[in-house]
Amino acid sequence: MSWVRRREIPLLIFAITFIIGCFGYYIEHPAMGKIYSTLFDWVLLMSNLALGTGLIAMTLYHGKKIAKREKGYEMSFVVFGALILMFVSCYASPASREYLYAKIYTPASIAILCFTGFSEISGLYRAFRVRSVEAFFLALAGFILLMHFAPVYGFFIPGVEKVASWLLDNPAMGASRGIVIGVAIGTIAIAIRVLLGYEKAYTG
Amino acid sequence: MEVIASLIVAILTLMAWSMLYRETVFYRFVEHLIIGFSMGYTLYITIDTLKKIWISPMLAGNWILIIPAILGFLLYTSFSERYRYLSRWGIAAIAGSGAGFAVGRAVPVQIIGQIKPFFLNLREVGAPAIINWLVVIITTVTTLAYFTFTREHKGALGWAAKIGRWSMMAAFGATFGATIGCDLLYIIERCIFLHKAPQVYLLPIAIIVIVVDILRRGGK
Amino acid sequence: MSEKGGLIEVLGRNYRQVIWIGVLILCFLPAFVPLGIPISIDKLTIKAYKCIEELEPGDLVLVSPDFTPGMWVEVGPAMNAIMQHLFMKKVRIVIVSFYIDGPVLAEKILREIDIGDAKYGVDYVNLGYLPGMETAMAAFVENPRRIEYDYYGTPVEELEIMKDVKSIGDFKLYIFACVTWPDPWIRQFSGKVPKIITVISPAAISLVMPYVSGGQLYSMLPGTKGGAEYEALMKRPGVATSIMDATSLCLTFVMLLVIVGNISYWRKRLRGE
Repeated sequence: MSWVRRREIPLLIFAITFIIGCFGYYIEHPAMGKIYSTLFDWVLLMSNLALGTGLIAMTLYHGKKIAKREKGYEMSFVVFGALILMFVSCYASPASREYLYAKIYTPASIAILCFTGFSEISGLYRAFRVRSVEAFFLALAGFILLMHFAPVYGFFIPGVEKVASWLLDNPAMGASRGIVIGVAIGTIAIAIRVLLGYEKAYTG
Repeated sequence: MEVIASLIVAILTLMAWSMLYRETVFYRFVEHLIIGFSMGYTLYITIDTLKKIWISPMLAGNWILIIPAILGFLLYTSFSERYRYLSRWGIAAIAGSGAGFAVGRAVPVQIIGQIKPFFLNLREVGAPAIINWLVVIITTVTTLAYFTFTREHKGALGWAAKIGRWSMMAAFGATFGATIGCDLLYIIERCIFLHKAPQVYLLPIAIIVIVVDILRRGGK
Repeated sequence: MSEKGGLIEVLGRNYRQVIWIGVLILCFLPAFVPLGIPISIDKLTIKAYKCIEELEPGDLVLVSPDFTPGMWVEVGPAMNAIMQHLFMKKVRIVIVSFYIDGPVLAEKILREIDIGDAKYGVDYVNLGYLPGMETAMAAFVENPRRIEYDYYGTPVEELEIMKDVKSIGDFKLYIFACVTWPDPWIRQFSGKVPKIITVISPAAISLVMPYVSGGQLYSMLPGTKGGAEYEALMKRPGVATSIMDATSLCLTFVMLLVIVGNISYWRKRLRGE
């Protein structure tokens, strides 16, 4: 059974699924259409099962923490308690699911995410310091966008909206376009590297 | 029920915000509660979706779905040192098809679709449009030049890469400015929620708790 | 002058606590005392509004609320405004999600807006979650009838609205809300539906502009600011509008911080510290 360990197998699976995914749409043939459509059914099912790996990893992590009485293990009970509560309420009825999800979970998540705002603002105090030409462009664009997102400036100083629009429509858009094209070329390059066996993250 | 939910959420919000004062067990409680809720919902939706896209079609006679199910369940071997290599099969199928669908569409949408707008009939547009067109071309080309790593950034390429870096800084500055603009919304939304009754009555209690703690700790 | 300099020094040393307290005060202030600061409306918001305004009753619109519950504040209020407009126009709405949280967030949106006399299964449907992200999007584009059951487990054939959905080309408009890199949605849906509008986190605004300029996206709403503008166009102020007062105040405070930070830095630099 040593053949099952061969790294050519995942590479072959990657190559077949890649080719079908990439060219299946462009090849108009009933057989290809059937294969293309079947691939979707298969991958959707596998992707759904992949969600379970994350759940198992988290369960193992918190389970081990409780078993070994590690520091802060009490909080792992909170995780399992919340897990059971949400799971049961989701199955109990749409009303209980919506109550727990929309009225408790959503606002509580927002409360935690507030810390991105708090830390970004304190970080911004240092990040927008003009130390170099690059920092000047960063700070200038950031400042204009801050004014753009504060509606009061756009209303009382019409020029703000024009400058912000020009910035977003031209220099910032041009740089982003360069990044978009670069990302697309990079995606293709990575796929080719995997196919040639240079990139081993997915195929072992 | 609405009042109870509001009070629970207000208490959770203040517990989370206790982190602004100092590292507390209350913050960690809310953090873990959210992780648990998220896991519970993910478990529910995974099972529910599995019923719809696997169990029901299988019971209707689509037995071929047993093959992707096996490949999918093989993903769980990643937790076993001995059989981890088997999980690569499922990962390869998901990554391969994902890359295929992305690459297939990247060429028309992200490469050709992004180059097309450069073709402009300069006779039909005014001077401002031509200047903007030049700005976009220069920033795009110089950004791409910055990501050219096969040659050393010297001479013309060095200058192009430098302008590209400035352009990207303008784009990142815009992104960062916009990010601040949107991340403040979390705090604002919570403040709007907290100012309403009955949760507003919890605010003085929270302030008293903090003051007592400061005094208890001797002003540390 | 020395007192001012001292203040700046203190700000420089304990800036985090000062900033947080300042932000909290400015966020609470408009909640207790509404200021009613006016807002200007962006051209892209007007474009999105006109696009929906031009839809005919009965037209099919596809909607994907693909974000997480924590991100609700960034795009949720704008989605509420757009969905409200769609129901007012009496178009038929098909909701499909490529994020696990999408279906339940769609429920939240539908509960918070006024759907009038619209009937589930006839005027709108929540098809639930399709796993696999970009693969799922490609799968839906290839055959929207691939989904056999809606979110509540009802077979799709039994839903009247789905009788007219045979291919992706049947939709007149696609609206998606996301808070991440929007490339997968644009890659898979561009050119397949006549128009695409996105409600996106302002953080991704500069990444979206190339697609707006290139025509792959018809328009976009930059988060809650876009939502407030949309509410102003609809003359129905809602959650997004209520948030804007505090946004103006807080961002003014943030801009002052940037200026103070730079003064503090350049003072030190010129002194040779």
